[in-house]
Amino acid sequence: MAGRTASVLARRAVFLTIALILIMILTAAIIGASGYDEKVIRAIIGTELQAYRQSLQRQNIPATEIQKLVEQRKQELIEIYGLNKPWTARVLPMAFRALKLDLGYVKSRAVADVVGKQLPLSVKDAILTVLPRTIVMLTVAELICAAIALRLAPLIAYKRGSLLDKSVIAYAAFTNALPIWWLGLIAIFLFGYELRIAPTDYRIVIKYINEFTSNPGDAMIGLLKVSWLPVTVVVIGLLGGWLYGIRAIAIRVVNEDYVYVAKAKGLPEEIVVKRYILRVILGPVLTIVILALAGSIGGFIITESVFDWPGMGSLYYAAITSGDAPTLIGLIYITTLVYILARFTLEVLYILVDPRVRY
Amino acid sequence: MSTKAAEVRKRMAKARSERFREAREILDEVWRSLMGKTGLILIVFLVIVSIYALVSMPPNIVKLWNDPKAWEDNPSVVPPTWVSYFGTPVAPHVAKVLKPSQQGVYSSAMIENAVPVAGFVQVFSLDYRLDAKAFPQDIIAKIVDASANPVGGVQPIVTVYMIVKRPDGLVVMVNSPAPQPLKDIIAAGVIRLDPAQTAASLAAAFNISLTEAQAQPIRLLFGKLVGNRVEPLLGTYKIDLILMYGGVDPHSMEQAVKQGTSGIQSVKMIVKGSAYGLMGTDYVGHDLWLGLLFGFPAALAVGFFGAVTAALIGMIMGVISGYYGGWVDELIQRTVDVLGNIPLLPILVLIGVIVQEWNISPWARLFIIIGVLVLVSWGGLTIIVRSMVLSIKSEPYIEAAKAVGASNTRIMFRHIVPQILPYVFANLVFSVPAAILTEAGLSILGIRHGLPTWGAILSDAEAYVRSGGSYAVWWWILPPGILIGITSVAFVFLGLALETVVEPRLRRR
Repeated sequence: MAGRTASVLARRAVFLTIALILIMILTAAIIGASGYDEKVIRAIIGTELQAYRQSLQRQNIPATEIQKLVEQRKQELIEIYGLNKPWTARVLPMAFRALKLDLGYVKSRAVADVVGKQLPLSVKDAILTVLPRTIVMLTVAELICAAIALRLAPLIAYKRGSLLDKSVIAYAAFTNALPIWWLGLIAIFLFGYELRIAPTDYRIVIKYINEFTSNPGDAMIGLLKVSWLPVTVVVIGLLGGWLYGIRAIAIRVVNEDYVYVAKAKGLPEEIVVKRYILRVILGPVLTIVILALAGSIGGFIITESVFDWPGMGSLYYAAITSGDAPTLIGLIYITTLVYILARFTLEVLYILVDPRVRY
Repeated sequence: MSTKAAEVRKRMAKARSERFREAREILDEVWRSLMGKTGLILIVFLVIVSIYALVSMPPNIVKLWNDPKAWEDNPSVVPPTWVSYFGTPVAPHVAKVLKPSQQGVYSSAMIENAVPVAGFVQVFSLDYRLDAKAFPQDIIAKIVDASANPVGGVQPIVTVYMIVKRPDGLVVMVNSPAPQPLKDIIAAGVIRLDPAQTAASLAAAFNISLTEAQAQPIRLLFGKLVGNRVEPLLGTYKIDLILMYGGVDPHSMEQAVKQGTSGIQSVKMIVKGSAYGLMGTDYVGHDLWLGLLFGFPAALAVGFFGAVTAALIGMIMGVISGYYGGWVDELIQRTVDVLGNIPLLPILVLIGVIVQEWNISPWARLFIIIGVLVLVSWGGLTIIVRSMVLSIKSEPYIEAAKAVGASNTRIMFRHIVPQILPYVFANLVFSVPAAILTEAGLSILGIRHGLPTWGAILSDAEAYVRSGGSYAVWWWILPPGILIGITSVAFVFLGLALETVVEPRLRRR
């Protein structure tokens, strides 16, 4: 039996690895085959040649000579950036190197700006620097949602069809329909500019996170000040979905006989919820929680961009708009890897938490 | 006709009416729930507005929207006119096409005690009444009807004066007149107020320094100094555009203008107000009413295209996967697995950035982006449909159909698909908002497809605020967001209602 479980898990692992490789190839293909990466490189070479030509002109070199030197430099640059090779030889190896966690170096200034550091900067450092900021905003928000939903959703499930239940569904519908980033825009306007009780500049989170080791007390207060509004907005935006999702799972068990028996025995509601409901639905609940946490690591591109929050989402955005292929490939690799690892962890957890699951 | 054929036809009609009856039943049940009713009413409203928008909007609206020149008549970043009902003072927006109020040959005269003129002269005159304590934004004049033919073989030279006569009697020259060939003036098409000249004229009149005047020439033009502040000066302003023709014989010029062979016939004078239209304007001067109206059909098109194609792919893949089993099933399920792990939004943003550079029509750009969304997001439905098909497949009537030799396609589409259709439809309704929200989200990131969708309008507002504009542009930020919300909520409500109706029916099977 155990051997069979292990072989199923091994097969899963192999498949998820193949999925990861396929996604990296797909990403490289989108970047390379669309000509996106080539266009960006041509623009870079263009500006470099312009600067080179100007420096030559300042040295009073004759025009025909300049033309020759510039042409020579152009060929060199094409060689350096690999433009003489097809994308399969330029972008694809980058994706394969990423698989070995060799992520290379950040290319563009815009990306370094989001990180808050100077070039040269390795992609690994960039991601590791930015990750805590996204965790402070999004992972924290997801955790708050999870805590509230796990507490409230089973109670709501008891009262299916009640006014409370209906208003929770309506709330979920509304937050599902209103984009979080729009709530963010309105919140910045209202609390930042009108009432002036929230910051309007969120880049300052960089400073507090950098100070965290040297001066944890002040940094913590600073972090609270800078993150309360974005975290609240994200919680308001996501909570409806959380409540609805966990309620839907809980509804299947709240009407089971053993729950009635537990209640009839006079057990306090808290214990009924914990022992007789949550424990039974632990599998699907774990799925929601772990996948949400893993997903939050990748950042919310739009919401972070609205708050100008220098997290993973903003890093993605800077990498995409500035055509920074190494950073983009690194980011997609890391976020996909985290997600796939989370899914594999879930497969193992199912077996651990639910004795009924046997392959 | 044989009775047998008639019998078969009758039975088929009965089966059809049976299916129709079921659809009606579901609809009735949806209508009975509050959410279903709200959703349906909202969707009908959205569809009616979309039809109105398609019928009433100029057909070249997309091209027009992207041409800043088309909007220069409008004030920029002003609220809707109805703010005046809530107590906000509004300087009215006035645009009038004028014929000359006065024209003729003068030997040497003064018009409005301001401009010495000689030769053939035209005066276009507009009265502007300022009743509320607010400042207009600008004055411009556009040439509506004119011809630049030479007169007596010579190109006329025209000097343009723009003069404002204030209620307090002060006469202000607001442009810097210089003789110019008539054809150049007509080619430019627009005569503008010159802020520098206005400031210079007003600094002398108000006895303040030039720099002070340059800080707010328009406000000074329509205002008075109260202490250090400038307050609106109420009353009727007379705005004159005086054209003095030179270089040609004045009498031949007069003849040419009267015959319409040369000279300027009519001019549109515009005083840009401090409020405009039903929904205000943005930075370019776009009438936001038009943009918001365009957003209705655009949002529905995006939503339906995204949801219907995703549902079709998801359903067909799910049916095939469940029905055939084996390696086909394995292949489809593993593909779904790979798709489920793709970081969707970054890939969409990347595609958006790539596509916005392509030289294709805005609609093509938009639908490529939504198409990619569809390609990545059909997996969820496939998994559910497959599990349903697995249970339907083992029912006796499917076996029976197989036994009489029905083809696989026939069994899938005649016997299986109709059963899962209600569920697929509920799922489809649910995924309409996903496509609309994705489009809006990509727009807010600055991805340009070139259509004035609600997302694009919001994104312009965000960019304006980001680049130092005031955050108080509520008429620019709130309506598009609210409309996105209403549209999404309509479909989410309908989806929820459908789901509660459809799910127990499926369980009963």
